[in-house]
Amino acid sequence: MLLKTETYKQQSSIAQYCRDGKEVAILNAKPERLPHYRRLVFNVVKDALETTYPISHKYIDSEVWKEIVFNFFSEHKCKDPQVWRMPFEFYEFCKTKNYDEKYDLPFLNNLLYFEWVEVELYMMEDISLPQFLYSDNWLQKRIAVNPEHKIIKLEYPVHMEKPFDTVNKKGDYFLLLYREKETGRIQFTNLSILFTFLLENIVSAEKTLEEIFNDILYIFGINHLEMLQNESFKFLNDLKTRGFVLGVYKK
Amino acid sequence: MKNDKKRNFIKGALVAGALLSVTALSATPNSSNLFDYSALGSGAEVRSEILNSEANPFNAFEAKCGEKSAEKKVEGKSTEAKCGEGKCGEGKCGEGDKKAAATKTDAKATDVKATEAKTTEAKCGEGKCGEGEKTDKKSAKAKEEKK
Repeated sequence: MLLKTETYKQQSSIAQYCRDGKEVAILNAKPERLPHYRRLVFNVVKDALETTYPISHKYIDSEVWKEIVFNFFSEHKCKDPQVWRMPFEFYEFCKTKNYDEKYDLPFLNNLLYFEWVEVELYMMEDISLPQFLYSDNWLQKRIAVNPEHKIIKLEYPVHMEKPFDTVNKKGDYFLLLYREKETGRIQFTNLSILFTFLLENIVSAEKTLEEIFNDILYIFGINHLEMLQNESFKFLNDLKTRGFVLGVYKK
Repeated sequence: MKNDKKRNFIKGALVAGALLSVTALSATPNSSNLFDYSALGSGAEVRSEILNSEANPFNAFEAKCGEKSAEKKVEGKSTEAKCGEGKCGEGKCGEGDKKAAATKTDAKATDVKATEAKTTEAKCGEGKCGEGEKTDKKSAKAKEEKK
Protein backbone atom coordinates (compact mmCIF):
# COMPACT_ATOMS: atom_id res chain seq x y z
CA MET A 1 0.00 0.00 0.00
CA LEU A 2 1.39 3.37 -0.97
CA LEU A 3 1.70 5.95 1.76
CA LYS A 4 0.65 9.54 1.42
CA THR A 5 3.62 11.78 0.83
CA GLU A 6 3.11 13.56 4.13
CA THR A 7 2.84 10.30 6.08
CA TYR A 8 5.97 8.98 4.43
CA LYS A 9 7.76 12.20 5.27
CA GLN A 10 6.71 12.03 8.91
CA GLN A 11 7.71 8.39 9.18
CA SER A 12 11.06 9.05 7.57
CA SER A 13 11.67 11.96 9.91
CA ILE A 14 11.05 9.91 13.01
CA ALA A 15 13.11 7.03 11.61
CA GLN A 16 15.98 9.40 10.95
CA TYR A 17 15.63 10.89 14.40
CA CYS A 18 15.72 7.41 15.93
CA ARG A 19 18.94 6.74 14.07
CA ASP A 20 20.95 9.88 14.66
CA GLY A 21 19.14 11.72 17.45
CA LYS A 22 19.19 15.02 15.62
CA GLU A 23 16.14 17.06 16.48
CA VAL A 24 13.36 17.05 13.94
CA ALA A 25 9.95 18.66 13.77
CA ILE A 26 7.36 15.94 13.72
CA LEU A 27 3.71 16.80 13.44
CA ASN A 28 1.85 16.57 16.77
CA ALA A 29 4.78 14.92 18.47
CA LYS A 30 5.85 16.03 21.94
CA PRO A 31 9.59 16.64 21.74
CA GLU A 32 10.20 15.42 25.29
CA ARG A 33 8.75 12.04 24.43
CA LEU A 34 10.71 11.42 21.25
CA PRO A 35 13.90 10.23 22.98
CA HIS A 36 11.97 7.25 24.36
CA TYR A 37 11.26 6.03 20.84
CA ARG A 38 14.90 6.31 20.01
CA ARG A 39 15.91 4.41 23.11
CA LEU A 40 13.38 1.65 22.50
CA VAL A 41 14.35 1.17 18.87
CA PHE A 42 18.03 1.22 19.70
CA ASN A 43 17.49 -1.39 22.40
CA VAL A 44 15.82 -3.70 19.92
CA VAL A 45 18.80 -3.44 17.60
CA LYS A 46 21.34 -3.73 20.39
CA ASP A 47 19.56 -6.70 21.92
CA ALA A 48 19.28 -8.52 18.59
CA LEU A 49 22.98 -8.04 17.92
CA GLU A 50 24.05 -9.14 21.37
CA THR A 51 21.88 -12.23 21.08
CA THR A 52 23.22 -13.18 17.68
CA TYR A 53 26.83 -12.36 18.52
CA PRO A 54 27.33 -13.36 22.17
CA ILE A 55 31.01 -14.20 21.73
CA SER A 56 31.82 -10.96 19.93
CA HIS A 57 29.84 -9.01 22.48
CA LYS A 58 31.65 -10.65 25.35
CA TYR A 59 35.22 -10.36 24.13
CA ILE A 60 35.28 -7.12 22.19
CA ASP A 61 35.95 -4.12 24.41
CA SER A 62 32.57 -2.82 25.51
CA GLU A 63 33.30 0.74 24.38
CA VAL A 64 34.35 -0.48 20.94
CA TRP A 65 31.32 -2.74 20.69
CA LYS A 66 29.04 0.13 21.69
CA GLU A 67 30.61 2.36 19.09
CA ILE A 68 30.31 -0.22 16.34
CA VAL A 69 26.69 -0.93 17.19
CA PHE A 70 25.88 2.74 17.40
CA ASN A 71 27.57 3.43 14.05
CA PHE A 72 25.57 0.64 12.50
CA PHE A 73 22.38 1.95 14.05
CA SER A 74 22.90 5.50 12.93
CA GLU A 75 24.46 4.95 9.51
CA HIS A 76 23.00 1.77 8.11
CA LYS A 77 19.58 1.61 6.55
CA CYS A 78 18.50 -1.98 6.93
CA LYS A 79 17.15 -3.50 3.78
CA ASP A 80 15.62 -6.68 5.07
CA PRO A 81 12.26 -6.35 6.82
CA GLN A 82 12.93 -9.45 8.92
CA VAL A 83 14.53 -8.51 12.22
CA TRP A 84 16.42 -11.80 12.57
CA ARG A 85 18.33 -11.03 9.37
CA MET A 86 19.46 -7.65 10.62
CA PRO A 87 22.61 -9.08 12.28
CA PHE A 88 23.78 -10.27 8.88
CA GLU A 89 23.60 -6.69 7.65
CA PHE A 90 25.60 -5.76 10.73
CA TYR A 91 28.28 -8.27 9.70
CA GLU A 92 28.35 -6.84 6.17
CA PHE A 93 28.45 -3.31 7.55
CA CYS A 94 31.48 -4.14 9.69
CA LYS A 95 33.21 -5.71 6.71
CA THR A 96 32.54 -2.71 4.49
CA LYS A 97 33.78 -0.34 7.15
CA ASN A 98 36.96 -2.37 7.68
CA TYR A 99 36.40 -2.37 11.41
CA ASP A 100 38.78 -5.31 11.72
CA GLU A 101 41.61 -2.96 10.77
CA LYS A 102 40.23 0.15 12.38
CA TYR A 103 39.85 -1.45 15.81
CA ASP A 104 42.72 -3.88 15.39
CA LEU A 105 40.47 -6.90 15.59
CA PRO A 106 41.81 -9.09 12.77
CA PHE A 107 39.43 -11.92 13.66
CA LEU A 108 36.33 -9.71 13.68
CA ASN A 109 34.88 -10.62 10.28
CA ASN A 110 35.49 -14.32 10.86
CA LEU A 111 33.96 -14.22 14.31
CA LEU A 112 30.84 -12.39 13.21
CA TYR A 113 30.42 -14.70 10.23
CA PHE A 114 30.94 -17.81 12.32
CA GLU A 115 28.31 -16.65 14.79
CA TRP A 116 25.92 -15.58 12.07
CA VAL A 117 26.11 -18.80 10.04
CA GLU A 118 24.60 -20.76 12.89
CA VAL A 119 21.54 -18.52 12.94
CA GLU A 120 21.26 -18.58 9.17
CA LEU A 121 21.40 -22.36 9.08
CA TYR A 122 19.02 -22.72 11.98
CA MET A 123 16.51 -20.46 10.26
CA MET A 124 16.87 -21.82 6.77
CA GLU A 125 13.88 -23.38 5.08
CA ASP A 126 13.57 -27.12 5.39
CA ILE A 127 15.14 -29.03 2.53
CA SER A 128 13.77 -32.47 1.85
CA LEU A 129 16.22 -35.32 2.02
CA PRO A 130 17.45 -36.85 -1.23
CA GLN A 131 16.32 -40.34 -2.12
CA PHE A 132 18.91 -42.61 -0.64
CA LEU A 133 19.57 -46.21 0.31
CA TYR A 134 21.43 -47.75 3.18
CA SER A 135 24.32 -49.62 1.66
CA ASP A 136 27.60 -51.13 2.71
CA ASN A 137 29.10 -50.60 -0.67
CA TRP A 138 30.05 -46.94 -0.66
CA LEU A 139 32.99 -47.05 -3.00
CA GLN A 140 31.16 -47.32 -6.29
CA LYS A 141 28.33 -45.05 -5.21
CA ARG A 142 27.70 -41.39 -4.68
CA ILE A 143 27.24 -40.60 -1.02
CA ALA A 144 24.10 -38.77 0.07
CA VAL A 145 24.32 -36.25 2.88
CA ASN A 146 22.02 -34.06 4.92
CA PRO A 147 21.32 -31.11 2.61
CA GLU A 148 20.84 -28.70 5.51
CA HIS A 149 24.46 -27.90 5.98
CA LYS A 150 27.20 -25.45 5.21
CA ILE A 151 30.97 -25.80 4.93
CA ILE A 152 32.84 -22.61 5.66
CA LYS A 153 36.44 -21.50 5.62
CA LEU A 154 37.87 -19.29 8.32
CA GLU A 155 41.21 -17.56 8.61
CA TYR A 156 41.19 -17.55 12.39
CA PRO A 157 40.12 -20.49 14.57
CA VAL A 158 37.36 -18.50 16.23
CA HIS A 159 35.25 -21.63 16.45
CA MET A 160 37.68 -23.27 18.85
CA GLU A 161 39.36 -20.55 20.84
CA LYS A 162 38.73 -17.23 22.48
CA PRO A 163 38.93 -14.55 19.79
CA PHE A 164 42.05 -12.80 21.05
CA ASP A 165 43.90 -16.11 21.32
CA THR A 166 43.50 -16.59 17.58
CA VAL A 167 45.25 -13.41 16.48
CA ASN A 168 48.58 -15.12 15.74
CA LYS A 169 47.03 -18.23 14.30
CA LYS A 170 46.06 -17.05 10.85
CA GLY A 171 45.66 -19.96 8.44
CA ASP A 172 43.06 -22.06 6.68
CA TYR A 173 40.43 -23.54 8.93
CA PHE A 174 37.42 -25.45 7.71
CA LEU A 175 34.19 -25.99 9.50
CA LEU A 176 31.17 -28.12 8.74
CA LEU A 177 27.83 -27.02 10.18
CA TYR A 178 24.67 -29.02 9.74
CA ARG A 179 21.19 -28.96 11.16
CA GLU A 180 20.04 -32.13 12.84
CA LYS A 181 16.79 -33.28 11.33
CA GLU A 182 15.26 -34.47 14.58
CA THR A 183 16.20 -31.66 16.93
CA GLY A 184 16.96 -28.75 14.63
CA ARG A 185 20.20 -28.20 16.52
CA ILE A 186 23.22 -27.01 14.60
CA GLN A 187 26.23 -29.27 14.93
CA PHE A 188 29.79 -28.11 14.31
CA THR A 189 32.69 -30.20 13.06
CA ASN A 190 36.20 -28.91 12.55
CA LEU A 191 37.69 -30.41 9.38
CA SER A 192 41.12 -30.97 7.92
CA ILE A 193 41.70 -29.70 4.41
CA LEU A 194 41.56 -33.25 3.07
CA PHE A 195 38.23 -34.03 4.64
CA THR A 196 36.90 -30.67 3.47
CA PHE A 197 37.91 -31.61 -0.06
CA LEU A 198 36.27 -35.02 0.40
CA LEU A 199 33.01 -33.52 1.69
CA GLU A 200 32.84 -30.81 -0.95
CA ASN A 201 33.13 -33.45 -3.63
CA ILE A 202 30.60 -35.68 -1.95
CA VAL A 203 28.17 -32.77 -1.67
CA SER A 204 28.52 -31.93 -5.36
CA ALA A 205 27.35 -35.53 -6.01
CA GLU A 206 29.17 -35.72 -9.31
CA LYS A 207 31.60 -38.50 -8.51
CA THR A 208 31.59 -41.84 -6.79
CA LEU A 209 33.61 -42.17 -3.65
CA GLU A 210 36.22 -44.18 -5.51
CA GLU A 211 36.68 -41.39 -8.06
CA ILE A 212 37.03 -38.86 -5.27
CA PHE A 213 39.66 -41.03 -3.58
CA ASN A 214 41.63 -41.13 -6.81
CA ASP A 215 41.55 -37.34 -7.04
CA ILE A 216 42.72 -37.09 -3.44
CA LEU A 217 45.64 -39.42 -4.08
CA TYR A 218 46.78 -37.18 -6.89
CA ILE A 219 46.11 -33.79 -5.33
CA PHE A 220 47.43 -34.52 -1.87
CA GLY A 221 50.27 -36.73 -3.07
CA ILE A 222 49.20 -39.63 -0.90
CA ASN A 223 50.64 -43.03 -1.76
CA HIS A 224 48.60 -45.23 0.51
CA LEU A 225 45.16 -45.82 -0.87
CA GLU A 226 44.32 -48.22 1.91
CA MET A 227 45.12 -45.70 4.60
CA LEU A 228 43.10 -43.06 2.79
CA GLN A 229 40.14 -45.38 2.52
CA ASN A 230 40.32 -46.54 6.11
CA GLU A 231 40.58 -43.05 7.56
CA SER A 232 37.89 -41.70 5.27
CA PHE A 233 35.49 -44.54 6.05
CA LYS A 234 36.06 -43.96 9.75
CA PHE A 235 35.25 -40.29 9.26
CA LEU A 236 32.20 -40.92 7.08
CA ASN A 237 30.85 -43.60 9.40
CA ASP A 238 31.19 -41.22 12.30
CA LEU A 239 29.29 -38.58 10.34
CA LYS A 240 26.68 -41.21 9.59
CA THR A 241 26.11 -41.91 13.26
CA ARG A 242 25.83 -38.17 13.78
CA GLY A 243 23.17 -37.88 11.10
CA PHE A 244 25.10 -36.01 8.45
CA VAL A 245 25.89 -38.85 6.05
CA LEU A 246 22.67 -40.54 5.06
CA GLY A 247 23.66 -43.40 2.75
CA VAL A 248 24.08 -43.66 -1.00
CA TYR A 249 22.00 -42.10 -3.76
CA LYS A 250 19.34 -44.35 -5.25
CA LYS A 251 20.38 -43.50 -8.77
CA MET B 1 51.58 -26.00 -15.21
CA LYS B 2 51.23 -28.60 -12.51
CA ASN B 3 48.87 -26.28 -10.68
CA ASP B 4 46.71 -25.94 -13.80
CA LYS B 5 46.43 -29.68 -14.00
CA LYS B 6 45.50 -29.87 -10.37
CA ARG B 7 42.96 -27.13 -10.76
CA ASN B 8 40.94 -29.38 -13.04
CA PHE B 9 40.61 -31.88 -10.23
CA ILE B 10 39.76 -29.42 -7.53
CA LYS B 11 36.04 -29.02 -7.47
CA GLY B 12 35.76 -27.56 -4.02
CA ALA B 13 35.85 -23.81 -4.02
CA LEU B 14 36.83 -23.65 -0.37
CA VAL B 15 39.96 -25.71 -0.53
CA ALA B 16 41.09 -24.59 -3.99
CA GLY B 17 42.91 -21.52 -2.78
CA ALA B 18 44.63 -23.33 0.02
CA LEU B 19 45.71 -26.23 -2.19
CA LEU B 20 46.95 -24.14 -5.06
CA SER B 21 48.82 -21.59 -3.03
CA VAL B 22 52.59 -21.68 -3.30
CA THR B 23 53.03 -22.84 0.24
CA ALA B 24 50.17 -25.27 -0.22
CA LEU B 25 49.77 -27.85 2.48
CA SER B 26 52.78 -26.90 4.51
CA ALA B 27 51.19 -23.56 5.28
CA THR B 28 47.95 -25.09 6.37
CA PRO B 29 47.79 -25.40 10.13
CA ASN B 30 45.45 -28.33 9.76
CA SER B 31 47.81 -30.21 7.50
CA SER B 32 49.81 -31.68 10.35
CA ASN B 33 47.29 -34.43 10.11
CA LEU B 34 45.25 -34.59 6.97
CA PHE B 35 42.84 -36.97 8.61
CA ASP B 36 42.09 -34.80 11.60
CA TYR B 37 38.60 -33.74 12.43
CA SER B 38 36.77 -32.98 15.60
CA ALA B 39 33.09 -32.89 16.37
CA LEU B 40 32.73 -29.71 18.38
CA GLY B 41 29.15 -30.32 19.39
CA SER B 42 26.09 -28.13 19.13
CA GLY B 43 26.10 -24.36 18.91
CA ALA B 44 25.40 -24.05 22.63
CA GLU B 45 28.32 -26.35 23.45
CA VAL B 46 30.71 -24.52 21.15
CA ARG B 47 29.72 -21.17 22.61
CA SER B 48 29.97 -22.38 26.16
CA GLU B 49 33.44 -23.76 25.43
CA ILE B 50 34.58 -20.35 24.19
CA LEU B 51 32.68 -18.31 26.74
CA ASN B 52 33.32 -20.48 29.77
CA SER B 53 36.50 -18.91 31.08
CA GLU B 54 34.82 -16.55 33.51
CA ALA B 55 31.44 -18.11 33.90
CA ASN B 56 30.03 -21.36 32.68
CA PRO B 57 26.61 -20.48 31.35
CA PHE B 58 25.37 -24.04 31.75
CA ASN B 59 26.39 -24.11 35.38
CA ALA B 60 24.76 -20.79 35.96
CA PHE B 61 21.63 -22.03 34.32
CA GLU B 62 21.61 -25.32 36.16
CA ALA B 63 22.26 -23.66 39.47
CA LYS B 64 19.15 -21.65 38.96
CA CYS B 65 17.08 -24.47 37.57
CA GLY B 66 15.24 -25.14 40.78
CA GLU B 67 14.44 -21.51 41.34
CA LYS B 68 11.19 -20.68 39.74
CA SER B 69 11.99 -17.04 39.36
CA ALA B 70 15.15 -17.72 37.38
CA GLU B 71 13.42 -20.10 35.08
CA LYS B 72 10.65 -17.62 34.53
CA LYS B 73 13.18 -14.97 33.68
CA VAL B 74 14.65 -17.00 30.85
CA GLU B 75 11.30 -18.08 29.51
CA GLY B 76 9.95 -14.58 29.78
CA LYS B 77 12.76 -13.31 27.64
CA SER B 78 12.06 -15.63 24.79
CA THR B 79 8.35 -15.07 25.03
CA GLU B 80 8.90 -11.38 24.74
CA ALA B 81 11.17 -11.85 21.80
CA LYS B 82 8.52 -13.84 20.02
CA CYS B 83 5.92 -11.19 20.63
CA GLY B 84 7.69 -8.73 18.43
CA GLU B 85 10.13 -5.93 18.57
CA GLY B 86 8.09 -3.59 20.72
CA LYS B 87 8.28 -5.89 23.70
CA CYS B 88 11.97 -6.43 23.28
CA GLY B 89 12.59 -2.75 23.50
CA GLU B 90 10.37 -2.35 26.51
CA GLY B 91 12.13 -5.18 28.24
CA LYS B 92 15.24 -3.13 28.16
CA CYS B 93 13.61 -0.04 29.61
CA GLY B 94 15.53 1.41 32.46
CA GLU B 95 18.27 -1.13 32.22
CA GLY B 96 20.83 1.45 31.43
CA ASP B 97 21.70 2.20 35.04
CA LYS B 98 21.15 -1.30 36.25
CA LYS B 99 23.70 -2.60 33.81
CA ALA B 100 26.44 -0.53 35.31
CA ALA B 101 25.75 -2.02 38.68
CA ALA B 102 25.23 -5.49 37.34
CA THR B 103 26.13 -8.22 39.76
CA LYS B 104 28.07 -11.34 38.86
CA THR B 105 24.81 -13.25 38.85
CA ASP B 106 23.37 -10.87 36.33
CA ALA B 107 26.34 -11.42 34.11
CA LYS B 108 25.80 -15.14 34.28
CA ALA B 109 22.15 -14.75 33.45
CA THR B 110 23.12 -12.74 30.41
CA ASP B 111 25.45 -15.51 29.36
CA VAL B 112 22.69 -18.03 29.66
CA LYS B 113 20.68 -15.98 27.27
CA ALA B 114 23.63 -15.57 25.00
CA THR B 115 24.44 -19.22 24.72
CA GLU B 116 21.33 -21.20 25.29
CA ALA B 117 18.69 -18.95 23.89
CA LYS B 118 20.58 -17.49 20.98
CA THR B 119 18.97 -19.42 18.24
CA THR B 120 15.63 -19.55 19.96
CA GLU B 121 15.52 -15.81 20.07
CA ALA B 122 16.80 -15.52 16.59
CA LYS B 123 13.83 -17.55 15.58
CA CYS B 124 11.63 -14.67 16.56
CA GLY B 125 11.99 -13.17 13.11
CA GLU B 126 8.67 -12.57 11.55
CA GLY B 127 9.50 -14.85 8.69
CA LYS B 128 8.92 -17.98 10.67
CA CYS B 129 6.05 -16.77 12.84
CA GLY B 130 2.89 -18.73 12.36
CA GLU B 131 4.59 -21.83 11.07
CA GLY B 132 2.98 -24.24 13.46
CA GLU B 133 5.10 -27.25 12.79
CA LYS B 134 8.33 -25.32 12.88
CA THR B 135 7.35 -23.56 16.10
CA ASP B 136 6.65 -26.89 17.73
CA LYS B 137 10.02 -28.12 16.64
CA LYS B 138 11.59 -24.98 18.06
CA SER B 139 9.93 -25.19 21.43
CA ALA B 140 10.74 -28.89 21.62
CA LYS B 141 14.31 -28.01 20.86
CA ALA B 142 14.39 -25.25 23.42
CA LYS B 143 12.98 -27.57 26.03
CA GLU B 144 15.52 -30.21 25.19
CA GLU B 145 18.35 -27.75 25.46
CA LYS B 146 17.11 -26.52 28.81
CA LYS B 147 17.20 -30.07 30.12
